[in-house]
Amino acid sequence: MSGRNVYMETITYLFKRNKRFLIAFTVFTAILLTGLLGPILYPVDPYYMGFPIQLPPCWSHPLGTDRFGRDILAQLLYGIRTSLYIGFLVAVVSTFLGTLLGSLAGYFGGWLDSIVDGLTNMLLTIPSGFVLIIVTAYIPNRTVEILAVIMSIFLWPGYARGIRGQIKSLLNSDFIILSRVSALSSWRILLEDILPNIMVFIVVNFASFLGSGIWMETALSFIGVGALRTISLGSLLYWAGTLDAIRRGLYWMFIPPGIIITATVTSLQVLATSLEPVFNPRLREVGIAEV
Amino acid sequence: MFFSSLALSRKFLISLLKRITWLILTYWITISIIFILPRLIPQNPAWNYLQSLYQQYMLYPETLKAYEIRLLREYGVGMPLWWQYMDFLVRTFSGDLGTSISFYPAKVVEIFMRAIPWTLALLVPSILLSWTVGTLLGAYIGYKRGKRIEKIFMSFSFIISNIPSYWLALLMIFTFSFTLKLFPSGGALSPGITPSLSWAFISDFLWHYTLPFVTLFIIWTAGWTGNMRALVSSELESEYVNYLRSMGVKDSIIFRYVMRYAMIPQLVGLGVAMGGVVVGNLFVETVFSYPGIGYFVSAALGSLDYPLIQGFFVLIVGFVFLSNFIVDLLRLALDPRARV
Amino acid sequence: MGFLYPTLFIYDSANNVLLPFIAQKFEIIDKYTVRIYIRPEAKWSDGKPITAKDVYYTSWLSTQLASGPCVDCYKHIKIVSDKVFDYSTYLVDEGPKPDTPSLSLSSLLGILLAEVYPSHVLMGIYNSSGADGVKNWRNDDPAKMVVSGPYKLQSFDPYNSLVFERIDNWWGKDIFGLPKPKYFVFLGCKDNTVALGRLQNGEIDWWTGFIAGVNELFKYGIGTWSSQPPYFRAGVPIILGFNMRNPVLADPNVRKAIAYAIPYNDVIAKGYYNYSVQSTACGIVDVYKSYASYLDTNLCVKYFGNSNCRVPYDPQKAKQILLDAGYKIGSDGYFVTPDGKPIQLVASVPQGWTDWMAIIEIIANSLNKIGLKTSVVYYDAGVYFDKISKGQDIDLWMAGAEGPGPEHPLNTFRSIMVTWLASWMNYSNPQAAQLINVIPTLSDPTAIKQAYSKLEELYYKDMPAVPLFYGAIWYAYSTKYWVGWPNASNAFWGETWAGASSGLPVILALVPKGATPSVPAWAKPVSQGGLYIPLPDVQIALGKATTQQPQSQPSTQPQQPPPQNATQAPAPTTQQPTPQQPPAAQPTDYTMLIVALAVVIILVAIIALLYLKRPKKTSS
Repeated sequence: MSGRNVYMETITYLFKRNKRFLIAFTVFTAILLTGLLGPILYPVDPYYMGFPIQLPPCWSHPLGTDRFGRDILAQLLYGIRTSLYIGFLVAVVSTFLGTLLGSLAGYFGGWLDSIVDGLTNMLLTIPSGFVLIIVTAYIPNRTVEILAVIMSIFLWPGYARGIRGQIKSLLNSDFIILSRVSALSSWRILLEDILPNIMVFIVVNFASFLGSGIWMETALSFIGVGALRTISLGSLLYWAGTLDAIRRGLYWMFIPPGIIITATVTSLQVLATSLEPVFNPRLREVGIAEV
Repeated sequence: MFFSSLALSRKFLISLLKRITWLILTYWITISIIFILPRLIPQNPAWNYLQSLYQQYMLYPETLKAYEIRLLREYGVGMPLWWQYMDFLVRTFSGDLGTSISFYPAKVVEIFMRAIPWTLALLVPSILLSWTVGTLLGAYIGYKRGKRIEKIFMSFSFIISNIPSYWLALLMIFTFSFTLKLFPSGGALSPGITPSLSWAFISDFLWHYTLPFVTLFIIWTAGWTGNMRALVSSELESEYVNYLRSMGVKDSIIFRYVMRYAMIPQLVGLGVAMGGVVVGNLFVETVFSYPGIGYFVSAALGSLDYPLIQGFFVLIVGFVFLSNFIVDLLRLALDPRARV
Repeated sequence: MGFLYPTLFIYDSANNVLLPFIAQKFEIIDKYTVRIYIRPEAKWSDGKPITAKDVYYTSWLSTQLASGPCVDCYKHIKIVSDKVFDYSTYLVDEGPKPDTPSLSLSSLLGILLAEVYPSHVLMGIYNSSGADGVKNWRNDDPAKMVVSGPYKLQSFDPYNSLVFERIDNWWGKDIFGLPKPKYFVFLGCKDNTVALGRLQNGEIDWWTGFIAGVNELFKYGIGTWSSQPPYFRAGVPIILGFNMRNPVLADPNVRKAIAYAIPYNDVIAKGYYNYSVQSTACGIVDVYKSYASYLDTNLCVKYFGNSNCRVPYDPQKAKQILLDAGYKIGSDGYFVTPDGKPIQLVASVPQGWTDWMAIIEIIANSLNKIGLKTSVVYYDAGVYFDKISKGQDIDLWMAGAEGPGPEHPLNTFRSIMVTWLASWMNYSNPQAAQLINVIPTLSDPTAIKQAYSKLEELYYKDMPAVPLFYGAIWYAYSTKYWVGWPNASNAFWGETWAGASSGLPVILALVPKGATPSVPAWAKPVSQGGLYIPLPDVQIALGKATTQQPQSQPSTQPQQPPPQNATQAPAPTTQQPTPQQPPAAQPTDYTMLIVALAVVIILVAIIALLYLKRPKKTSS
């Protein structure tokens, strides 16, 4: 059972046959590259207020300027980078937390399980969107990192549940029982036997959390409780709102950010769901092109 | 038949009690956290309000003093934390959630009651309608799996369901309100029109209502469609479907069974969505200045009106917990497979 | 609400005058006392006359509730007759003492601008339901409402609108005229965009909120104070404050350099939509002629090289000032202190105040350009004000100082150099403080001018804060249905917040579209046959009075104290329920609750522990 080959097979199959996956992959990579390289290739300071105000798109300012004279394209490029960074942070923290707590709960069971279960329960019952907004508003020092941690707090519980469930079912499988009987240390079992098998779940959720993080941060910034003095896709829309861009018809301020947000989140979601059959044999049987 | 067996089960009652206790505990902890957070940061709300007033018209020094005195009396600013907490708990249980600062002298409960009908009017029809249309569409598409139309529809609904609601709202206003001048750019009513059963009121209200409704409808329908289709898809892979198929049962009959089981999570989703009605849709309501719950929360956040935020939080979270609980009960009653 | 309960006198900042409304006139009797005469015609809407007792009890109730008009004033009021009362700076029970302050403009205005409420109504409520009854009394029943202004509440709509109806036989109609609008609707509109849309359509007549791009609305018949930039009337000066706990900023040279390094026009254009002009270097709002007379232009030529008293934007000069003062440019291109320490300034404004956010960015950018390293942070408004008032974490900040008003320009100097702004900045200037105390006692115009000149020179030498521009008084009106609105060419009164007493004169002057607007007869100074009392005259009268000896009190008073003499405890007090306990007494109520709560928590914990320790089933 050479797992490696099957993975590579299905991935190349995905690229060749699943058009939707291909499109999503291209879109996301394009956005990623724009975020990484954009500010370098277009080195305009997004905070600088010296340009002529309210210019529509033109050669020197491809996306025009806003009411204060800031270049919109520079803000957009910078914003993509910030949003991706935040999404990444959120994904890392929540995946880490969720995997750690979920696997400890699932593997060791007992009182650890009860505590994690209780915590998860509590966090899942509260209306996370609403509470997130209020809690964020109360934080006086809103940096990108702190926000990412707060957002992760609401993401990890559902995921941890899933991890726990996966591990519990794995514990019943033969090879694990074999490892346990052969008195391998718990950590070795966790790392060598269990982890590879839940890798799929982790990776898929990571991609999905990337999207969630971007989505949440954008929403928070739009209301005005995002990170202070930070340019992100959401803050672009926030400024469009406060500077009355809609009433004044400054479409270049609010149309591009929304497109990018939708594209990023959608492509990440497609990637996440498309990757599932790569690792999940049952879905593979049904036919990858289906999903 | 189900209900009688439920009622007699001791185990069920115990788990019910557990659930209730757990909910109350969670509620209490959440409320307390929201209570404590703003009081941990050193800040001076009096000067904030005064400086913003200052720049609009002249202010006399006596007003500052009067304002500080009022803040002290009404909001307990300056008292020790534990006293404020006790005061908060006692007042909450007696139904007094305080007085809003930015809407002074309206009481928080009043504002909530004022806003609820608007939010319900906006959200309930849009949730129900989008759910219905979405579920039917999703089922239909799931039924027609493998065909071209499925792929196209799926891609569309996927993309649309991920459009940020506030962005779509902005686009709506831009297109239909400012460019085409077909609809008003916000508010719920034109000035001078008061709620009554007259055609003037109803037509004016609907005119204001259309854009926010359509915004939510579009995004949510896409979401429900995708959901339902995924559920139908996964049901179609179940053992019993294969079995029925291999027996040569007609597709439409199989489908009826599939629908029944796929509907359950979908219904649960509906229940949860309805439970979230009280939260209001902060984004759409704010962008359209539609005076619902979400709008007031957003306004309170903007002006840091702590009593309002706190009071609304207590009420909203309470409602959500209650409705989630009811949904849980219903789910247990309806879905035999979920009963443990 | 000043609209329903106008004050004794109403102040207008555009003309710097007082309009006697409920009151008829006042006399300064001696350096401690002013006598106020209520109009004989003044009546409440239920027919009862407005009396000195109303003033007395309004203040008495405010004191009981610790909030409301003129807290504690009643202790200084002696009722002379039905419509006349004396207000003294000493407590009436005690009489003048050696340390009693003499009457000042602010204490005089405290009583002149006081609201008067119907004591017969309020005391009735107090007698039956105590202080809480008064505090919770909403006064929203139109049938029972008793007011003194020309409008009363007709209906109260929970959807944020109040409808007022004119009282057709209002007592003041012979003095001020009957207002033409029969109904006045007060809409609470929280959203600017929606309100602007309504203004544009003419659905709103009078708007006092922020407007972006007001000049674009002129073609719809919308007007504002002026049809030329800056369009709006100037309000308080917005200043850039310094945290002088930072030793770099404690050096006046650095502050002056910063003043020269600010691109004022850019700031106003980008941050304020050109809705204002650069402020004078000391904060005097010279847009108004009556205040401009206090400026000593010779000083301005001496210090700034121009006679309009503005600090010019001169980055070269800013750099030069720093270099001359011993600051050197470090290896990274930024200034360091004379002993080589790098300079890093932190500038801040409240998060969400978008105009100010843009302004501080522009200023920081400019400072960085001349070599002063500045970074920008934002804080939530409550946190921001807490920090700057305590001098924590922020070096450069913005705030609104005190501005046009009866005490201008003294209040500006006082707030920046002596009182609250000075304490925020940790600044002190004893010479200035002394001058500020002396000025109210002067009555000779020349002496006053000289004193201000000295004060201004102290300011220019020290530059404790940099006034940037004047906050605009937001104002817009629609001429679709009503004309006669006050504006720059029709400045009989200043525009103001519609709900205040100061809004009444505006309404009294409106006529329907089509009719010819004319300035009301009373809208002129007394010297021209109207009713306006110019503030400078008040100031001079005060100055004269403070130099006089106090007259012996009893000789001007009736020998017999009238039956309701304020020095007796007012009859109602003896029947009162005990006044509200101060909050400090309440904590004792909660000890039982705390004990109960602790017991509950312990019980829950025990139950939870027992539950967790139960033997687990093998299936999960």
